[in-house]
Amino acid sequence: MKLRALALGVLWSGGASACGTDGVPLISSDQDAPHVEMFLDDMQLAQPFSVKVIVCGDKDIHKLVVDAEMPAHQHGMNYIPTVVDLGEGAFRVDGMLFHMPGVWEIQMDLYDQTGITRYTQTTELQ
Amino acid sequence: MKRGFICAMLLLGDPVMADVILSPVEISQTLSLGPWPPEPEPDKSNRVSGDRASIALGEDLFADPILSKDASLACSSCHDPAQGFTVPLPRAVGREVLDRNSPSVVNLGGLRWFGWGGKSDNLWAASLHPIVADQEMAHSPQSLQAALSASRFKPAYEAIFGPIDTQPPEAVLVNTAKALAAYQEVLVTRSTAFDVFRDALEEQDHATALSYPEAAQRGLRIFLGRGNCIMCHSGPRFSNNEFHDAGVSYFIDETTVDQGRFGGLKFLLSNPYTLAGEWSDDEDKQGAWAVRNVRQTHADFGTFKTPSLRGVVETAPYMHNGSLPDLTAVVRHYNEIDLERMHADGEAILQPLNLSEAEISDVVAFLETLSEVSD
Repeated sequence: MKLRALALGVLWSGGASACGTDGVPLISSDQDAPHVEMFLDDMQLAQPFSVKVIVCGDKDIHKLVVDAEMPAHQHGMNYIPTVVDLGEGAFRVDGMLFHMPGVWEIQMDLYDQTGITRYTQTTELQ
Repeated sequence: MKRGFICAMLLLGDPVMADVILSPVEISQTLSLGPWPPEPEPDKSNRVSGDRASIALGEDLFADPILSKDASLACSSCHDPAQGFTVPLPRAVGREVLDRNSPSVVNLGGLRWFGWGGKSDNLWAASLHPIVADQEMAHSPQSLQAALSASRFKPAYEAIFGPIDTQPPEAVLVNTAKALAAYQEVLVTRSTAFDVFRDALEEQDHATALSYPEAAQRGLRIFLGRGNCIMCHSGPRFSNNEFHDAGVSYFIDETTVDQGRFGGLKFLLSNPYTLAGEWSDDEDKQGAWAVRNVRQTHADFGTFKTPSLRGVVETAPYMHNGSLPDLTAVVRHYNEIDLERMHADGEAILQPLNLSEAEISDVVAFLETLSEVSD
């Protein structure tokens, strides 16, 4: 457990410099949107977990809002996640909780001086 | 059937498993429903959690009518240990007929929410509210303090919590609830026939796995697949501990509606007895993230907590209002669910199952194995 925590700590401290590593890309319909990756930390059914998000490049980010929903079941999460700015384009999203198995769509709104950019990515919880 | 048999053979590699009819995916899902029982974890918000003297005091208080103002009701009046810690009534009876079925109080340690509407985020608060609710035990903190101070419980209380007469009445109320919680935490159901089967699958103990009835296996397959039951009745507790609209009426009578989780959240967020509050003994407030971040939506209206299915045979009647008399009626409810009744934004997962009578019997056979004690 300690080793895993240490490994996550190294990964999570990388910030924007960690772009292009093992993260899952978040998808935006805006072709000029900065590249964004996420790292899912040990998702377990009906248990809270954290997501690491890295926004690549030198964008001045005003705010990040993250949420998720199950498209097939017409509902979202029962909790509002908390976004912690780790600096250098890195964010930790705490309090994610998927209370049903299946496909979830993670949604992220990135606020900067140009406006709001919407990103999405799906993930399946068994 | 044949495909399931072949898959099981491939996974377990032994012809003796011929009568295990689950596919590898179904076996994996089955393993997620255990092991049982869980390792006990002390409740950090309750300083007497796990304390033997407090457990003993809590057990004594649980069965004594001193906790009701007119000495007419004990906790056990609605949570009878001889009847699965519930009572076989559709709706519980306190000082009047209450709005909901009396939930069992076993397997409560470590949960995130308590009660059909989740109005408590910890077990001591869930134990406290009935003591002071007007329709239930109707004490005030002052009357509870006076009753306990004049009772045979005074020495045991003071040995744990200190002099009762000099404590603020609200502290006496919270301390009493924490002793009750310490007792309820140790109420854990034993391993069942299902658990023996599940553990045998994990250990590839073929001979033991074969002792699990095939009808129960067929019911388990429906539970995992076509029935979609595992979507909400997940994990070793057979509950995701969250809130759903199961298509049951939320009318208490012709003019009154049970708000379910919507009302539970309003109550939760307006009372001081939460994991984020000053009455929690956990300085780190570890579990408080849930009450701090829980989302209030209109979709909470008429939703109720997914009940655990462990020990389910002993807890009839069923659903939040006790409207279904037996397990067959529950399976029929989901089999013929009324889509007109569901909210427009209700659970899209619930559809009529079109199970045959034999399949309904199989699901019931499976549910019954969640209660059988295996020794």
